[in-house]
Amino acid sequence: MSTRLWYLRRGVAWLPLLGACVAAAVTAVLLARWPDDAFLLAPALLACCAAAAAFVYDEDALPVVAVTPRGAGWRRATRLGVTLVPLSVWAVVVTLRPGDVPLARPGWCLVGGAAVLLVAGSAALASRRLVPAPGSVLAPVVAVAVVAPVTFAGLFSWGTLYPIGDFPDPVRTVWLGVALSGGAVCAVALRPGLRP
Amino acid sequence: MSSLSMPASGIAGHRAMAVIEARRMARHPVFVLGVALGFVALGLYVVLVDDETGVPVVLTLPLLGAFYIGLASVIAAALLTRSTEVAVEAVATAPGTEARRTLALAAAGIPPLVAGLVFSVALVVLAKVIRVAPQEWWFGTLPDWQVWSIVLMCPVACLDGALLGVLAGRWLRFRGASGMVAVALIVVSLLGQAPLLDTGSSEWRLWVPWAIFHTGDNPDGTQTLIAGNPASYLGYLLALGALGALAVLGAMWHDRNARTPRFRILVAAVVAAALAFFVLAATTGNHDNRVSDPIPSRVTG
Repeated sequence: MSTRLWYLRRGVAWLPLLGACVAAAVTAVLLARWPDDAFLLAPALLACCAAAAAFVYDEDALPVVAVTPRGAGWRRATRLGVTLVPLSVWAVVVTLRPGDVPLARPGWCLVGGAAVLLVAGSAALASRRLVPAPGSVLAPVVAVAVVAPVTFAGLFSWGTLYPIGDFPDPVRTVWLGVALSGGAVCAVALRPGLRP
Repeated sequence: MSSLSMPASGIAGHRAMAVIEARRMARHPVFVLGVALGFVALGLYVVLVDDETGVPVVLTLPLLGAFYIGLASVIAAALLTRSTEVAVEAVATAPGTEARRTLALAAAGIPPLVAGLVFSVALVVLAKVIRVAPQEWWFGTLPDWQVWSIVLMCPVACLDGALLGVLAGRWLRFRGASGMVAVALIVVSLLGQAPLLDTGSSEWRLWVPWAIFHTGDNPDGTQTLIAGNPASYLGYLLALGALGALAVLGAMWHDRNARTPRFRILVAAVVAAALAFFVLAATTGNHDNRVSDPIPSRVTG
């Protein structure tokens, strides 16, 4: 365990990861101040947490560490544990419900877990393909993708993926699909071996 | 390699650098993905949103192009700008100053501008072919210049997005900065105008970087056209980006050697132009929100 912690402490790009978590915390404060804008601020908060997960596999020395005796699988599996950081931020927000926003806790926990899992899996997959810093590209794309449904739900009367209040079954089904996809991507990314 | 074969100064050298940056942008995966998503979303909307009267709420659709192409351009342009940092020593010995390279990077806005124009043309052609409801806010119920101004907001926003990306790439050094800029853009645009839309002073929402002029279908089948002058707002957007001033010149500001007195006057002039366009947009045009005649097939409540 101490070896894993030592590796995580030195190997993870903590600055951007924690920076995204701080952005999530700031958004949570904004949510507490303006709960009526939860339709946008809650997804923005999710975007920050998902973007944080995108940095979990950033490793500038990847070409070197990928061939160490300990193995690429050990490295990827160890790094997956770091997703607990953005997940914890998300869990705290959903539990505390800043501004008394009526977030359905099980549903919104599923939303956060699914999004973070899919993003972390995608980053792991990129890392497996020897992309040293997938977060630089993945984080902005994920942030925009997470907030995109909000823009269109209001304008085109499309159903929202981020329901405030009741959490309808069709939305739950969509997020379960995202979670399953994330699980599948993680499984592919974490399977033993060095290359795809 | 290619830089050594380029003229070190003059218009020819700058043109060569600009062409390289435009090509890099056109081939950037994030930009290509954004363009593809924009057109797929437009196609899906036209095919799946079923209405016997034709394409519904067509004047809201420029948002699709501006969102997907414009925000993808923010990210792609920032990544392009930052990509030179990995070879900073080589870049330092390349011909031209940082300001000159930044100006060349502004050419990365050309592919998004073209993609946005194609999107707008596709939108107008689709509306012409499939038709729209006679009560719809479109040609016939609005002056042509107002419709064109709103439709052309899409390519201008795409261009602005790329220029903002250059700005973000030059000034913001942390990883994922372009994502934060894109999310901030969305949050500011939505929260900056949402509280004003249904008020008597809705025209003051026009300070945001993407203002909506059409609310979509109301439950009673009507549509609301929000107050303000779309042509002046288009000028405001152009002043922010397409005329390049605030975004590109802001990026050039990063190079201390570029801060000549003439440059400072130019910045001040463009800021003044942007303010003038904003005031014109808010004080001319429709002074109140206008409600269309109801479209019976769209009544939902």
